[in-house]
Amino acid sequence: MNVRAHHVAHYAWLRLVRSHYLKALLAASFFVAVAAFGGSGGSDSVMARMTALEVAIKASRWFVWLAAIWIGLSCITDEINAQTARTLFTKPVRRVEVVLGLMGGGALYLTLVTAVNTLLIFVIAVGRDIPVSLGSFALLQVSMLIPVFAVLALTMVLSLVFSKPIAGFLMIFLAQENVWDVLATTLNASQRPDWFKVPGVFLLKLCYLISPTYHRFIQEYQEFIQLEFPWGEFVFHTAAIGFYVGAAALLATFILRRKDV
Amino acid sequence: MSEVLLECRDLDKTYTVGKLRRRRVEALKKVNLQVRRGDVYGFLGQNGAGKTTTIRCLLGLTPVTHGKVIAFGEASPPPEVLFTRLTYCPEESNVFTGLTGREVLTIYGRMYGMDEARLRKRVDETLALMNLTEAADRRLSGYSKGMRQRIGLAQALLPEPELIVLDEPTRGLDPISRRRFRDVIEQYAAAGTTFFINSHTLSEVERSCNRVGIIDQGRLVTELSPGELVSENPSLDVDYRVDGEPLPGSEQRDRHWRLNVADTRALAQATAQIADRGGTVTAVTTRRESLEDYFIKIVGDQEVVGP
Repeated sequence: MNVRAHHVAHYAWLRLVRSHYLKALLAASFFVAVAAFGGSGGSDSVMARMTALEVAIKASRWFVWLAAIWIGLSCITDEINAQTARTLFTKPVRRVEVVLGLMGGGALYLTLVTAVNTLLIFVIAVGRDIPVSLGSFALLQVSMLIPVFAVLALTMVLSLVFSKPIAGFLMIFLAQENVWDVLATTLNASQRPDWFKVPGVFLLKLCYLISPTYHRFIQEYQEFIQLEFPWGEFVFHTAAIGFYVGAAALLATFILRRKDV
Repeated sequence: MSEVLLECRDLDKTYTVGKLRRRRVEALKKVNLQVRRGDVYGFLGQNGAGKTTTIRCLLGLTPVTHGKVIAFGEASPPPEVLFTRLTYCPEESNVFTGLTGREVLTIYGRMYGMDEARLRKRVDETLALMNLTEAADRRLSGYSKGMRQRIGLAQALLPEPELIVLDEPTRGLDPISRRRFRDVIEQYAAAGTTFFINSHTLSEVERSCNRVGIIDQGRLVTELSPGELVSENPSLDVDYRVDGEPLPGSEQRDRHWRLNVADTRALAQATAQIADRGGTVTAVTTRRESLEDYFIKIVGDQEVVGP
């Protein structure tokens, strides 16, 4: 059996690498990751420095989630809308391989963004004397990728079932907990000026005020990097996400067989 | 009789259109056609007649409502089987424009399962054939429309398939690019490649194709070879000079009149009438009915509404 999904993934990778929107998103995520450390130099408190690190990590996660939603929305539907799908679907490649290939290209891109962000944050953290173990930190970032792949797969399927705007709205809605998590951590940091100041804090405070579940975040803010990596959870989530990604790929293939391309 | 490579039997395709007031549109109605090995099959029709829908059904890009598509002797083969022997050049060469010409061909060549050595050789050959060697490492976003069309044809020629399906290959191209396309098609056809060309450029179909199918309002109304047009409908043009009144039905040319007559019997009558009026016949030529004449006669010039 000839497997050619990796050629589709290569194609998807090149498409993403040359997308100006994603380049802008990537640049913004690097900027936020660096900016998150902006105020931490003013305090010697370990807690303050750890909070800066947490903000940087969560902000970078947020951008990776956004990138996953963006890629999921565009990777198949843009191919269909631009009619490039006709050229792609008339190659001797199974539909499921096309779906997995496009998903694989997206996953590879998101992995690269995360890897670069992780390295950047780690280098700055070391420079700021923040006690971080590279192994645990890297594994934590890898574990973050697992739900990102699920977001990518789910967005891809939703964009095939519905339109791009509806799928985008649904995914932002589903991902809002992650978004609010970032905002809550940032807000928490901003309320302790002796620790750390975050640029754009007034806008974040506004977001905080209109959030109907804001007190939940106040209770949960003290969530810092776990230096003990939860291997059990990691394996369980990997298996679960593998199942969801596979199911999403099959569903997308089923839809594509019945869709005009 | 040569082998049938691509065939559709009683092909029906119905679309549902409209968001609120949904209605059904019959795009194809019992279409039967056969493409045999060695054919250069021209598929003609007006805009909205069902040409592209037929191609999409043949290639499995849209599910058929009823009927069968048989390719290389197998009913509705999966893409991994079908597209190893058949390639497709879509209308307006729909390829991602962020890639270079060489990258497009290399990526698609790998998808065709070509080994690296053969792929490199074929990429260089097809780029040279389509006169794109110099632009090979430029992104398609910087290509002209004609160059993108040529890349589209190059990716279809790359694996040297048995059958190539071309959808409006020369639409919007300048005469030189059209000529290049025709030359390449003739070169590959001479080497034994079968073509199925969807077009409404009648003159090109007439020149390049040895079989023509005409589709109108979702029905295949006729299949013929352009050579059959002469034998089916021969007529004669009589050019003559006369000082007095010309014969009824004559058209004025520069310094003479032209009358079209159906056959030699009518020619004899016309010649006698011209002599009676003191005129002289200057030339008699056989008028070949063009594909355009035939197409208009078959299809008419009514507006067709369809998907």
